[in-house]
Amino acid sequence: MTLREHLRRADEPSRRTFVTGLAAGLFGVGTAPLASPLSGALSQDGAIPLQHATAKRVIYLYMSGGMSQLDTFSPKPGAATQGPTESLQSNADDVRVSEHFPLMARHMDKVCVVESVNSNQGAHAQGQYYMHTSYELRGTIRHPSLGAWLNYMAGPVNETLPGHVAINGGLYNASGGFLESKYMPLPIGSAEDGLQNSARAEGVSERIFDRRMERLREMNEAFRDRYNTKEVRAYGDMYEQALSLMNSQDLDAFDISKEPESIQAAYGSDPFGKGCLLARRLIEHDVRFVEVVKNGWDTHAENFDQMGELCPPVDRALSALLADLDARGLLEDTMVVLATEFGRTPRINTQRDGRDHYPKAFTCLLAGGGIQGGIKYGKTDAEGHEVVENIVTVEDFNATIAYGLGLPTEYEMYSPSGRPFRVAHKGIPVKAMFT
Amino acid sequence: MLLSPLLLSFAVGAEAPAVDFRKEVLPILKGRCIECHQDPATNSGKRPKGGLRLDGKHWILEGTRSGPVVVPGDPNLSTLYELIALDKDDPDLMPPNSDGLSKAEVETIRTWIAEGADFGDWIGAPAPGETSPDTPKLTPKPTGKLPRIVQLYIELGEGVTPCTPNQLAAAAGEHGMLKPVFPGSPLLAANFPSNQGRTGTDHVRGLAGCAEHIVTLDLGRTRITDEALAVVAEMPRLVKLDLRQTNITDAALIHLFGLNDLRSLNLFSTKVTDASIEVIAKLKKLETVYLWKTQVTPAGIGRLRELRPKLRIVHTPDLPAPERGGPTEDESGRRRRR
Repeated sequence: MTLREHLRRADEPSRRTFVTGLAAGLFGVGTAPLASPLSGALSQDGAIPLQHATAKRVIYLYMSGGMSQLDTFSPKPGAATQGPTESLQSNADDVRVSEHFPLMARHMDKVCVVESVNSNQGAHAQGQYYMHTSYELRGTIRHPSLGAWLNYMAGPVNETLPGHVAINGGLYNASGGFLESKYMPLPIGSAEDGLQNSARAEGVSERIFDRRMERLREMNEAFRDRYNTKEVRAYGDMYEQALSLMNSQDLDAFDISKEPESIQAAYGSDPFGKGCLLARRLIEHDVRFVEVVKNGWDTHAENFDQMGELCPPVDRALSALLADLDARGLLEDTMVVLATEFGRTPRINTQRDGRDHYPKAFTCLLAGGGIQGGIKYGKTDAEGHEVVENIVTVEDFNATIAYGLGLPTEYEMYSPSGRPFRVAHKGIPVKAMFT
Repeated sequence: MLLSPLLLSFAVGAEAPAVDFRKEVLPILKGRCIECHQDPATNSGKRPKGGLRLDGKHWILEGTRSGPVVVPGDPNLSTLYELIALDKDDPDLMPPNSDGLSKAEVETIRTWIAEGADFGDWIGAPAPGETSPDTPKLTPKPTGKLPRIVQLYIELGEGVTPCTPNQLAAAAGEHGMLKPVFPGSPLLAANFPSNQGRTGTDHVRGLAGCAEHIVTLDLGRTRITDEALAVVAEMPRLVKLDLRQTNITDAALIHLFGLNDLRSLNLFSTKVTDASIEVIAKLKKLETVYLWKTQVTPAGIGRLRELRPKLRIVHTPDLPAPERGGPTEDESGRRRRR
């Protein structure tokens, strides 16, 4: 590494370390957290100064395809754009929800409705990528999603389970990006089946298994020492992570059949409901970031008929999740996010009775983890075309989540190619959403 | 002579420009040029061709690295005009891979430049750091205050000397984790992550060494017994206590007398009964208590509500009723899997 490269990479941490050291010397503060391995005030490698956090974990519910804001959480009763969807008064004074969310109408006191989310990406792949990473999709780099940032900056809490899990979604959007492979989410294809292939093969005793692993380590050792790069280490990490997971006393967290019948029934029997239940079990075991995906929101045609199919499972699972988390005391430090890549046009596409992509003004939800419930943040005009108050860009939205988690939104980290990146790009946290 | 500037300006005013940018030039740019010469942010990240953007006044006047592309008043020095006026077989002709603009379009742009390249009131994509006047003025984001809990930790931490690393290590023991609530704060959050099943009363006793500093204590899902709470009695600044899914009983709660800053008490899935109601009611600052899956009866909850009308009492959650046919499907689903 040239001196210049070294300086560039070392710049931020060393300056901060210097300032912290100075403060310690002059005021006698901060020494304990810096010197102690027990400290959580700095990231794992001690380089990233974390901030006060109101949330420890996130359940991120992703409505893939672009959820219609008017037909869900931002109805505009009486507007020409509203179409046939009726709305209901919720238990929060200023919040109405569509007729498809009768259960959620009883839980909106826990939720902050962000009505003024604004994106500049109108295509699915680009929009989903932007929502997850706060950066635009490029050919030259892959950015980490929020779950990877959280585990990278704040570290995992449960050492034996993965810190980042993606349910129903695969690995396209939730991603470790340019970070090491251990920040990739563990994908769970079906919540009902839980974690597959996590036990030793039949007929392989523990002794034989351990011996095989030992042999593998020996064989790899020389190679690892000679080529001690991130990629080679990542390969080894993968085995170690898999092993610690196999032996984890918390493996039951992946098995939703351990839940009482009544709880399973409350979340619903569809993949999204089961995914939410699994997410709750995982965060209870200190998994820090769980994403659950609900597909099918791309309602270009027959929007109003499709709402009757798409909304009820979400209404049920989200109400069950919020009520259940609250009753367990977990909503205090668990942030529940409901996000989508864009909204849908207020104007109804009359030929197909549908709504098309609309990134300009759409709705996402935040709840728990220090977020103020029962409020609406931001406002669109009477027909839902334009943001008229408190615009929240995708980057601001993600910065707000990061702020709740105590991740420094100003901190620049350098990718392997030396480019600077921030957890929510240029986003500014909206502190007014917190209690 | 004195009159001449006035006359000149009068002359210019009278001879209204023949080309209106918005009506005549902008449609050409929009139709034939901007697709390749625009802000990467509106073009899936694609950089503008030749480093030239034609989507805003600022950008058109800025030109490229090699210099301006529009020299007001002089089409022949303006690359923008030069490249659209080339012969049809010239490889440098703009737009590329086409027969170029029509003669009338080329002439419009030439005249517009010759007349001084007046943009009228058009600004288009804003210069860096400026906002477009086309987007409505929005209320600025309220900067907001610190979250309430953080303010509380700042107040409670005033004048408290931090624990030494040795004290921290001794207090955490082999299973515990002690973290400052935020950098620089002497106050601590204590928990036993991924070791709950192996954490018993003995592992918790060590916390006494940092008892003055602990503001949140998570003993959820551990194997602690009632005696473990004796150490909690020594934590005067405790704000949040989580005892969910433990075997503690009413006997544990007597240790909570005197916790005058306790805001949140989680007793979900413990063995406490109505006998604890009076104790809970006496925690002066308590804001939320979690009592689901305890042995507290509806009558007990009613009594607590009477004693502390403002306390948030969380007990049986408002869970959705089962779907019709839901549990049956569930049942068959599981059978299939086994």
